[in-house]
Amino acid sequence: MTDVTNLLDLENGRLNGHLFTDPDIYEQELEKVWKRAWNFLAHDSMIPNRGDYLQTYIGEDPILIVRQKDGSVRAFLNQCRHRGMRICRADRGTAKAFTCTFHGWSYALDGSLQQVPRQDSAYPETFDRAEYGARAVPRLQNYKGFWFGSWDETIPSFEEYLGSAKYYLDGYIDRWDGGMEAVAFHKWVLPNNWKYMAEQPTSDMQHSEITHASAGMVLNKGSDAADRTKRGTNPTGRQFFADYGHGGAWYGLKGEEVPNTGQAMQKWEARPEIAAQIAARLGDDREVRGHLNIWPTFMLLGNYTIRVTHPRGPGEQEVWSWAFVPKDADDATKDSIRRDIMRTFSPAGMFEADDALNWEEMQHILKGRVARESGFTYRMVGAPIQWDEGCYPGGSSAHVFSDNAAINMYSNYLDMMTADDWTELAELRIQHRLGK
Amino acid sequence: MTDNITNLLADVDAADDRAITRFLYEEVAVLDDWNWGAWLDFFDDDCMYWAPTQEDRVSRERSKRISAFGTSVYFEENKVQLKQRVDRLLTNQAWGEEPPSRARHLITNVRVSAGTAPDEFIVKSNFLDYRSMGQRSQDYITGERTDTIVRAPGSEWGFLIRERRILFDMSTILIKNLSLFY
Repeated sequence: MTDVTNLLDLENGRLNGHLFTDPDIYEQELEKVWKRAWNFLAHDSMIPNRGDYLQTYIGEDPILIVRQKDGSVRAFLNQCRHRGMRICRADRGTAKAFTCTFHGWSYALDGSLQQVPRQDSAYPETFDRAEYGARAVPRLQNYKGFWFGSWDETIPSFEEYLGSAKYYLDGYIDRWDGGMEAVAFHKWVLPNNWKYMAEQPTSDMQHSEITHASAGMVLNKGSDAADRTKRGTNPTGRQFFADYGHGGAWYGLKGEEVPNTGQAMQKWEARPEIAAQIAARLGDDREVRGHLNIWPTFMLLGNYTIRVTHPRGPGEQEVWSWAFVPKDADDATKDSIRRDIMRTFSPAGMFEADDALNWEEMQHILKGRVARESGFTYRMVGAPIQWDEGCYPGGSSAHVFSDNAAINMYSNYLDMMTADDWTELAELRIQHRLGK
Repeated sequence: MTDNITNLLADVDAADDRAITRFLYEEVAVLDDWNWGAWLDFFDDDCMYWAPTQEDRVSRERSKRISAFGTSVYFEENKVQLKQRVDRLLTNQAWGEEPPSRARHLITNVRVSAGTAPDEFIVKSNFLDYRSMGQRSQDYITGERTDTIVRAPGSEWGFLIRERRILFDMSTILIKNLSLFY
């Protein structure tokens, strides 16, 4: 078994390339990261009515998340307990039950095994259907409309897992009385390790001025997108990180923030009645919307792209990305937000296209033995780490460009990969607080 | 009773059929030659270029398989927005296409029929777009286009595309991006 410990030198900001290519490390990640983290599964607006279901994943494991007859939600492994066939093969829809198309085992909306063909004549009397329900995701929690699941029964509550990131996540998703809804969805595959993408909304704002230079040039004026020239040529801002690897950043100093929201959202939120809602719900002129990642891969951008990436081996990932809008917004505002996301951050998005190229090249180059040992550098740590500075809970630094949150993300990664259980992990994370 | 093929052929003048087919070939030749600015000349100023998504549904919900306009789409561009995409490529800093990929658009199964107005045609065609990029990267994507094409005397090519709907066959896009035009 590959030991990851010596592949991360966080003090000197060096990561060995094996972390992104080794199949054995990837298997450990499935076990120690994906099974033990809180993973985004669905939003209430995706399964509004009873019987509504959505196929999704935790890591590589297929999950079916289903609205029950009583309005509650259940999630279970989308694998028939008989011979392991996918129980439900539709991407989403509305069902009364799920019948496996291999031998016909049939499951109720809650995943319990309802019917087995030929049970009466061909199975012994000792066969008990109750023992063969679909494997339930044991921990399921709704946070402000977003459903998260974990295979680890001992994981702390989602709020505790968020830690100081709660303040920043709420700054995106808890602003409006009417809540949010998903209005568009894209999924696509990229030929690179999943951690490259996780790292970006956690910690890497600086790539944007180079990687995305062209998109800024054509979209700053006359489009639905945010005008990025308002950030100035020497942008200010702030970056935060939280104990369990979450991180994010935004442009502008307190009171003069330059949010990454699109033009229509900015106008809609400036309406007195909406501004009053935001003030009442958040209470502190909170504007933290640049980019954000809740570890491992629940990612939010200021334009309301909200996504996860599912790992597909060390060298591939599958991006599932939704466009979210405030439910109470007028149709024109919603449409502008949707269009902006599609034109910037989707498979045909003008920002997204250039990210894909970087990650593909990085992954390909790591085939080289020397390149893999040479690895990557995280030394943009000039901005000192402050703890609970002003209104900002947790660790943060007074610069929008910093590797601090990436180093924190990999510190959490290392602790997850080495800790035996959540008790040990919680202790390690307090010991390993950066800059404290 | 006349047969279907006789009816289909009677719908459109043979010369128009030939001209429109050639128009579609010339359009993709411009793209494959990296002449993106000139590609805009094939589109009406009041055009819509869009591409729905697809997903798997059980048979009773199959009518919802293809997303509607204004919902989950890959493209939904008017002429101004198409020009923004072209202008981005022309910055020479659109790194995903710089150096540009070597793309080859194969357009087949062209079916021209009469539209609802005079001098308007509904044209279906299939595509296979191959892309070679950098040293080793290659991919391809297939689908069907449904174009509304109008006769436009005095325009650069004599016809203009008023609407193009691109239906990709992939539901999960298995190539790294949709950075070309389709």
